[in-house]
Amino acid sequence: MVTPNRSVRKLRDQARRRGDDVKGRLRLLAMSVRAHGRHGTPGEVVEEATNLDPIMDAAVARARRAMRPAGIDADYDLAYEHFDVMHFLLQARHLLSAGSVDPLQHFLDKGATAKASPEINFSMRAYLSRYPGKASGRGGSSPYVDWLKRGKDAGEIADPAPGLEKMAPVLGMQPEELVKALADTRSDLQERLRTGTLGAMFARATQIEPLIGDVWTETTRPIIPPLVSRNIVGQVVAMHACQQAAAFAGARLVLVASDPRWGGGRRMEGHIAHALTGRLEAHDIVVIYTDTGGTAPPGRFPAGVREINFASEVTGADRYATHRTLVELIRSFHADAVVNINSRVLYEAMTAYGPALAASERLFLMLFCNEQLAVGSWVGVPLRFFYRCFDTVQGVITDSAYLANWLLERHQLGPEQGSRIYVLHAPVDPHMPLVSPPTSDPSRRPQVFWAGRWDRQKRIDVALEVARRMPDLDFRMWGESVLTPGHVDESPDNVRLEGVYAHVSDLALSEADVWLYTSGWDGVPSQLLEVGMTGIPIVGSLVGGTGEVLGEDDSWPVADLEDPEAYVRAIRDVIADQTRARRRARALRERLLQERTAAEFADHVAGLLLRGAARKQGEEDAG
Amino acid sequence: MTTDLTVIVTAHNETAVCGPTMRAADLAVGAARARGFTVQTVIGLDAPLPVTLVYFQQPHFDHWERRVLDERDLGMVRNALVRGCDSRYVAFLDADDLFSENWLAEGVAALDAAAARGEHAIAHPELNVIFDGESAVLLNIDQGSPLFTPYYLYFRHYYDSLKMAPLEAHLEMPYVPRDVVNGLSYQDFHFTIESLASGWRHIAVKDTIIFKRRRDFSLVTESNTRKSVVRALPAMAIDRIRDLGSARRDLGSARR
Repeated sequence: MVTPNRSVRKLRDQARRRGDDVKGRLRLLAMSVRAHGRHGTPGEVVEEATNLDPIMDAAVARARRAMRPAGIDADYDLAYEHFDVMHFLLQARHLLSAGSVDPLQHFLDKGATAKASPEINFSMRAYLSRYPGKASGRGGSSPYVDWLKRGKDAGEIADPAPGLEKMAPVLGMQPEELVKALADTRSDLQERLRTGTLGAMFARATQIEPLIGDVWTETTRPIIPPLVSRNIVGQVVAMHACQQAAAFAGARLVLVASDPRWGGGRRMEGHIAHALTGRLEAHDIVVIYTDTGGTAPPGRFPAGVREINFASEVTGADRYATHRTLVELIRSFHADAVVNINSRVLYEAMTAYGPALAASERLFLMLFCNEQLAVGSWVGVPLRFFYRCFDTVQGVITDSAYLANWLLERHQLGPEQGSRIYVLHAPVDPHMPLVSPPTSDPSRRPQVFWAGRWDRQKRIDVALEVARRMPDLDFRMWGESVLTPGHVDESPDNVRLEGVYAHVSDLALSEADVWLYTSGWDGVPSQLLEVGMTGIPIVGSLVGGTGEVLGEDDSWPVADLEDPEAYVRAIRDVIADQTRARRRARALRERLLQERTAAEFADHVAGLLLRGAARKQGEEDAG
Repeated sequence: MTTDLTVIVTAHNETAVCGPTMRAADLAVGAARARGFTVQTVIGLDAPLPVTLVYFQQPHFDHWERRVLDERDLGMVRNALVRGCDSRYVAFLDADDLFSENWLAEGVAALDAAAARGEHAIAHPELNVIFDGESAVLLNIDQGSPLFTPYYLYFRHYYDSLKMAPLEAHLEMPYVPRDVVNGLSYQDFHFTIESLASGWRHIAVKDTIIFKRRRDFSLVTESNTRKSVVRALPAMAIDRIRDLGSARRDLGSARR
């Protein structure tokens, strides 16, 4: 939009180049538009009255008089046509008392480091952050001059609004359309503030409350919603992107998970989703990954469950902004229940927004186990966040009675409080076939299978030590190194490293004589539930909730998990009488089939999480 | 209704800071009357400190009606005062803020013009100017602007609480109580969302300003503010948010 003042200014600038013969006429023209801000040539500057204080008007006129005449420097002359003296001086207020300083030359000399902007719709910082290569102007000129010469017409964006390109699609615009809308808005505001009614009202209020006058500087950078700050833009854009990923549809269940979680199998979140699909549609379930993005392995969720990569959408965002965004996203689904599955971001958000969130949402925490650090101390979600969130949430869910009881005892909870702690017994897959034992061959070396993450929890060191003590057996180990790659080099000759695997069923299970499990701490691991269904004898550490799978009568639990010899004895016991061992292992399968049915699990989950669902009598709540 | 506008200044513990406020309010009221509008002026004193009571009992405020309440919640104070109004429009002013001189006159004119167009409108000044403890110039975005997106309302309010609205709007959508303990706040923000969902049109009135004084700003205040949210509202649901602001209220229709 070209304003009348700018037209006049351009005329005058052109005239400067033509010579003195037109100056007289221009002076008359200047007199006629003295109410409007414009530039003048040195020596004939007319002090223009604006809504700012007359002292400022005088300072602007003084600065204009200090500016160079035309025809000496083409770059200067080009910048002069666009340079807004009052706008610049309102920012560079130190120049107002610096005597006779040419503000444009001052700006140009600063080059890429100039902070004050030369006109309201140009920001050096915003321009150079988009085009870092422009920091060194051609021939040493200011990036602003380069932008005026070439960049502006080439569509290079120098608008000061934060996050402009990101916000444009949310507003249904192309970035260049948004640039124009913002520029028109700012220019119009600036014009009306300086010489229109808007500014007159500002000035009038300043007479009543002089402190208002100190805000004139801020008129050089008006805040124009929704482009308020990088954080706000990031929040709005992330919210829009996540809702778009969710197809702008509500949900009945929102699972907020830290990440797609390593390993195949359904895991608890998958079990919950599958259990409810008989009662609601798969698309009624949303999974939000908050800490690390990605997608779950195939099969974890029923087809149609929506997965939202929140973590990727908020990359680089301020943590408080991230918390708020997650809270608003969760609330926007208006779900029956929200389950936090190890989402650190949600736990942190709940410390600030927990009560507000709980005012509208039925929140549940899914807890598994704590973990031991390398120095021996214990940390973890149950330790850190249970007490922080317990009073706020609808309920706490554990995968083991062990953890539920631990929470009750540690926090000395009575029956009423304890009744909000629920144990979900993950179901087993009855379709998982019994695996045939290896053929009986005296010349064959027995094989011990081990699989899992190669991290501290899984106690690779113990598994390798067991292998060292049993050179007559072969140990086949699957899994990728997560935290402790060092152990790879420590494996003895009878250990075969098989690499990564997706699911237990992918392994050559018919070659396994024994399944070894050496975890140092745990809930009820999916792996034991899966292997338990195969009929392969399990020798496993008795920690956390593993005892709810491994019974003395149907497997070989090892109480002293630090003692490799205890595992060795148990494995020897299995190998010594494979027929008896298989019979015992099949008993485990039968027990799991009875104790962990999909139907009971589904009833329990539905009763707990779905609004209006009848709570099943006799469900096994810890309280 | 014989009165065009009621102006309500609310105070709790303020005294000397109200001098510029009341002077600006008087000028704006005078300008509105000069345009031919009838204006009722009310000072609402909510659980006032003794010094505040004494301050506002000065004779030079006698042309303002004084009402003392004990709500201890700004939204509830406004609700109570609005119930006692018999004007077409109501405008609020906090005891430490200022109106531009033309706000009341232009606000009434803008609402009248909207009504003439068949719109149920709620008016906001064009600019919020933050002064004293902080400095900022914030543009209020008209609902019809291409810069208006309801997604912004998940995180920020487009407007300040010092709006001008038909009495009908306040009676239909009274402010909800604050729930500071649970971090549910922003009564005016809540009002905006509810009114948008009900088809009220939020307009920015050209060339008008409110001046918001920031006193005793601290990071703690900022931090606490950041931890409050608006109550979860149906209009903000994922499948409804896109349409927020697109509803049109029929003339004479009741809310919802």
